[in-house]
Formats: sequence, structure tokens, C-alpha cells
Amino acid sequence: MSDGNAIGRTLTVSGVFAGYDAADVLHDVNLTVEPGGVTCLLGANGSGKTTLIRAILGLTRPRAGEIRFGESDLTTLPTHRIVGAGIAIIPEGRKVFPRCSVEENLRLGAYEIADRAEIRRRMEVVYDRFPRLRERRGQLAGTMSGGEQAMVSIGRGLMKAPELLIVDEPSLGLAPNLVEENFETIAGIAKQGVTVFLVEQNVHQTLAIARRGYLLQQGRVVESGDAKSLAASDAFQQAYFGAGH
Amino acid sequence: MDIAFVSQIVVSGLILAVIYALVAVGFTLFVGVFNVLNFSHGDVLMFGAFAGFTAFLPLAGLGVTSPFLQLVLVTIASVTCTIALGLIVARFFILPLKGAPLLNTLLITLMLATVIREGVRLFYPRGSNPKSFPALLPTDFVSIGAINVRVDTIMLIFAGLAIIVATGALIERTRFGLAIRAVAQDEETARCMGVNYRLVVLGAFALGSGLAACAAMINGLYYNEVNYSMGLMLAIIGFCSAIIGGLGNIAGAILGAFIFAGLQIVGSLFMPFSSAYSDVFAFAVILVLIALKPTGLIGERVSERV
Repeated sequence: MSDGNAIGRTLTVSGVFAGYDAADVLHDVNLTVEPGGVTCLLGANGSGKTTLIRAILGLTRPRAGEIRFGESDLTTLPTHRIVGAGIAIIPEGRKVFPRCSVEENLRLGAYEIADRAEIRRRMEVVYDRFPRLRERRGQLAGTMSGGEQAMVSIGRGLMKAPELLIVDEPSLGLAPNLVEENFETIAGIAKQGVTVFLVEQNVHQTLAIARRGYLLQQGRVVESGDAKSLAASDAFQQAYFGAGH
Repeated sequence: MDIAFVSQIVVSGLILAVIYALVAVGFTLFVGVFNVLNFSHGDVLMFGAFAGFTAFLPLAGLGVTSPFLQLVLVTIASVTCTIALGLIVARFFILPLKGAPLLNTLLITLMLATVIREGVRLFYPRGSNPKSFPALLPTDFVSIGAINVRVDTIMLIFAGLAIIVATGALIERTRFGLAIRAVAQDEETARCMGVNYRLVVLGAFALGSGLAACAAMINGLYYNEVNYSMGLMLAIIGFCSAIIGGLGNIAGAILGAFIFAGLQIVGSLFMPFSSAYSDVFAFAVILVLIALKPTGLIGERVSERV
């Protein structure tokens, strides 16, 4: 699975049960995100993708199981310590801070960094990737278009200079041409050596850029493997194209 | 009406506006970071006034006779005690209620307010009597044309304005301020950016309570009196100011405070029977304002996009 030149830590989710109130949404979920490339998590609405991301980020505490990133145990760490460990998130729905400027949004991405020169340097990297954000650095993010907000959200994630970037439903609510652009951006980020854990409903484009993936159904991992064999599996065919062919 | 009389009222209105603004900013901060209407805020302020007053009492005996040094020490005592009490409130009564129904947090802050207020009344020596707060600033008059104003009044107004401006800069320009704004807009996403949520809540309560201490000091130095029930009215007015400005909005809270003080001035200038009805007038206008602009004067200018 390794890229040859990929060095870094592996995210390991083992035996995780999690949910809200009395009901478990995730049942004994096991998966690993190995360093390098794009690993994807596929699954229909309500299959537990969002709950798994929340569990990894410490927003919903697992009832059982363990989440590790390399040697460090994330299971009981508060969220700000988890993202401090080299993990960044591009959340579902982009979640830019609407009443903060573009620059402030980016600053928040590197919140734990105090060194101004380093922040400046990372901002320039983001601005080079999205020149439009440089033009609009002073604009309130809430007044921008959906596509521009997607750039802010991705840029904010990159500000952490993460080892692992979790991308949650990036194409949700975007126009088709923007979806295309978004996938290219994500593939580009992965090529530069950032490990990407991509959660998506948009199967074909996801499998086109992913190396490896997991299929989640009703809170259980029902299939895993490299992108090709995942697409060919019975469970996948059944989930996405219905049974009986 | 002669100009001297009008200027007198305008000056006292400015003092009121500054005090209200300092209280209102606290209310709006607490709503921003925790979505809690903290009704103990006024009584935390009163506690700060009593802490300052208490710190003053032994100073002359200890040989500290310079009014300036006395003022510095009294202010430090007031601000420190108020921040400490605010932090205790946040840490032990507000933060544990994360996720609880809003009415429960509201009820807890109301009960805390009562405990602090009645605690001071019962346990402070002769706590139900007003205490005379010392005048630690120069009390001579300066004349500007026909207008005579006391020096300490001008100093208090400028000090209050400076604190308000500094608070605005803290919120707008610093990393801590950015964290407060981020948490106010979207707590979970702020945490995902690496913001330590509990620390930001505690910091906001420390800041809000410190500002309340400043309000208590200005109030004490201007009226030369503190009493155990002073927090109640200031809390109601500060809360009103925060609401008319649009809760959660710092600039709005300051604007609301100036509007409320302005209404009181207008009320005392133009209502019959002098100033007795100025509060009635001000609150009545606020009622109308809230009915007309339920989301506050500075509404959301940014709509969330999907």
C-alpha cells in the first residue's frame, strides 16, 4: 500500500462503537488510513460516515474502541489536541466563519501556531494555490459564493500544514463544474504528500482519485480494499446499483 | 434650559453610557461563547464594588495615603476579585451545564445572582446599608466657557472610553479575540481549528467580569456610594443594551448602552417632574424598539450560504 516515499503516521480506528443518546450509529468499525495518497470512505446517507469523522475528531466520544494516530492515542483527547497532532479537517458544508474575513479564516486554520512569519508563509502558499483568495483576503467569508467558500475551507485546512487531511463531503451542494475542480484540488494536495481521508457520496469521482477505500453500511465496514477491487465487490455493486444483476 | 444645566446632564449621561457599555459587553460576550444569559453578571459587578471598597478601608492605616496609589490598589483588588468570582461562576456553574437546556443555565445564573447579592447583604458588616465609596480622583472643577465640569468626571469618562476601545481592539485584533469570535460563530468548527473551547469560555468570563469591575469602579468613584443591590438595575440595563444592539454583537452592545443612556437624558430633560420618570421613559422606548426591531439594531448582515 505504501507509496515508496510516503513517510508518516497511520490513522487506526479499531473496534469503535459510537452514537448519540441511546442508539449506536457505529458498530465495531475498524479501518486504517495509511500514509500517502487518498483513502476514501464511501457510504449512503445515514451509514455513519459523519459519526465516524466526529469520533475521530473527538466531537462525539466513542463508547468503545480506540482511535490512534501513529503512536498517539486520540480516543480521549479533546478536539483541539487531536487537530494539534497533525490532523486537519475540511468539514462538511465548508463551515467557513461567515463574519470573519478570508484572512482571519485562514489564520484560524493555523490557530495553534504563534510564529507570525510561519503563518505568513503558509498563507502565501494558500494564496498561490487560490489566487482568488488573495484578491479577496479582506472580504467577509459569509458574503462569498459557494465555490469561493470551498476555497476558503480548503485553504484553512491547508494552513495547518497537516500530515493527514480529512475531507468531509466536499462536493455537497456545489455546482457540477465546481465539484470537478474540487476533486482536482484534492488529488493535487494528495500528490504533494499530504495523506487524504476523503468521505464522499460521489462514488465515481472519488474512486478515480482514491487508492484505497472502505464502504460503510448501517454503521459497519462491509467492504474494503484498493479502489478497483472495492468498485468490483458485490457489496459495492449492491449498495450503489441495487441487487440482482 | 441654560447651557450649564444641559451640559451637566449630558456629562452624567456619558458616565452612565460608559458604565452600561462595560456591563453590556460582558452580557454579549457570554451569549457569544456559551449562549448563556448570565444574570449573575450584575451581582458579580456589585461584588467587585464591595471588594474595592473593602480594599480601601485599611489603606490609610497601612500608611498608603497617596490617592493615586490608593486608586491603583483599590482597582487591582476590585478587578482581581471580580475576575476570580467570574471564573468560579464559569468553571463550576456554567461550563458543567454544557448541553443542558437553556432554561436550566438561565435559572442557575438567576440563583447565583441571588446568592451573591444576599450573601453580601447578610454577611458583609452592615451589608444592607449603603457604603460611601471614597473619592480618589481630583474633585475640583474646570470651566469650559459657561460649563463647569468636575475633573474626576472627565477622567472617568475617558478612562471608560479607553477601556471600551481597548476591549474592541482585543476582540478584533488579537488571537484570543479571534478565538472568541470563531467560537461565537461556530463552536464545533472553532474546536476543529485547534481552539481550546474551555479556555476561551473561561477567558471570556474573565474578560467580561473584569469589565464589570471597571464599571463598578467608575460607578463607585462617580456616585461615591456602593450598595448590595446596585447590580440588579445595572444588569437589567446592561442586558437591555445588549439586546437592542443585537445579542452577541460587541459594537451593538456599546451602541445599545449609549442609546439607553441617551434615552434617560432625554427623559430627564423633557419629561415633567424632572428625572424621576427618566427610567420609565427609557424602558418604554426600549420596549417599542424591541417590538419594532426584534433582532436588534445591528442585525445579521451576513447570511449563511449553503
